[in-house]
Amino acid sequence: MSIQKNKKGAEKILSVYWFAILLIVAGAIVYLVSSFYGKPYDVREMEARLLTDKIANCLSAGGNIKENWQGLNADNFLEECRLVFTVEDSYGWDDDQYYAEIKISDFDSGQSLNEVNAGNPNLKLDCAVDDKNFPLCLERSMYSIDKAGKQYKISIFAAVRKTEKNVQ
Amino acid sequence: MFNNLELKDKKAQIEMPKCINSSKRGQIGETMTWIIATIIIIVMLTITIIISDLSFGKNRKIQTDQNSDILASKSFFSYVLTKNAEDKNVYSQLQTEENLNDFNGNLAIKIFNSSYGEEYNDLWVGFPELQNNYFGEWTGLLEGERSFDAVQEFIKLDENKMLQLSMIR
Repeated sequence: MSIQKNKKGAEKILSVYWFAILLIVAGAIVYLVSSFYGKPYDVREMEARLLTDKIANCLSAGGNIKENWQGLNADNFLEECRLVFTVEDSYGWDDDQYYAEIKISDFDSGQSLNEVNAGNPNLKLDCAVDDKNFPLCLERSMYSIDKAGKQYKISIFAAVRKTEKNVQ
Repeated sequence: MFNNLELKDKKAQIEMPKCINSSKRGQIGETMTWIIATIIIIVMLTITIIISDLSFGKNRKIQTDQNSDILASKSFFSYVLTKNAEDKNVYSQLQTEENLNDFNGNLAIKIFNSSYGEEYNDLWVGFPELQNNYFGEWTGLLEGERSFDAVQEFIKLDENKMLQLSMIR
């Protein structure tokens, strides 16, 4: 009789133990999943690269520089290149999360012929800091010619902030 | 009769402690097994959490396509359209010549080294598998071959001739 009672008690303790183990394992799985999916992906490098690619496509096509490149200015640049710097209405963003700058210069002398920028210029100042909490900046350049055969160097600078969504 | 019953009771009294002793030993053994099993489970979970935290928790950057470079590709295309003093573009020059000449060789160095020299460890322009005086030994890949860190651009000059731009990170 006393052995039977002991067995019943042991079974009860075991079931409590099993629940405890189950909770530990479940908790660990929840932690693992949240640690993996809870942190956001940093896509700013990709965004900056896409922005430079898009500007490059706008400024040079078929090996030649855009015909009316002299007429590009801060007012018409976004429209000419079909760019939209509007961002989602969150984190108090006020369409100030992007910055783009182009510089068209003579390939041989390096003399600047046209400089255009659009977006939030303050982002460029923060580029000196190499930290994930600061804007991601990308500067690239390309070579192009016009129909008369004149050679140009086109420098494209792009900065993307959006730290709230990409960094945690 | 009474004596017999008394004797049986006495025997039972003597045998009981033995049974309880072996049951206690069994219980201790079983408890130890559970404790060790619990420790193993916790250790395994901790290791898994640490590994996943270290390997996935830090670098959550999405890499862009490493096999294409739009700016370099556009520069390469503009390069072959560039004309020399005789109004002959690089494309026509390379169609008729065996290798890069002074004009197109130096122009290639100036364009690609200045714009992409910092970004890529190895730059090469020329005819595939053919050494030239400006970029040296051929370091590119054949057409159709792919490498994760390499950008390859080809421009067909004629049936048997190709101009290659190879950039390796």
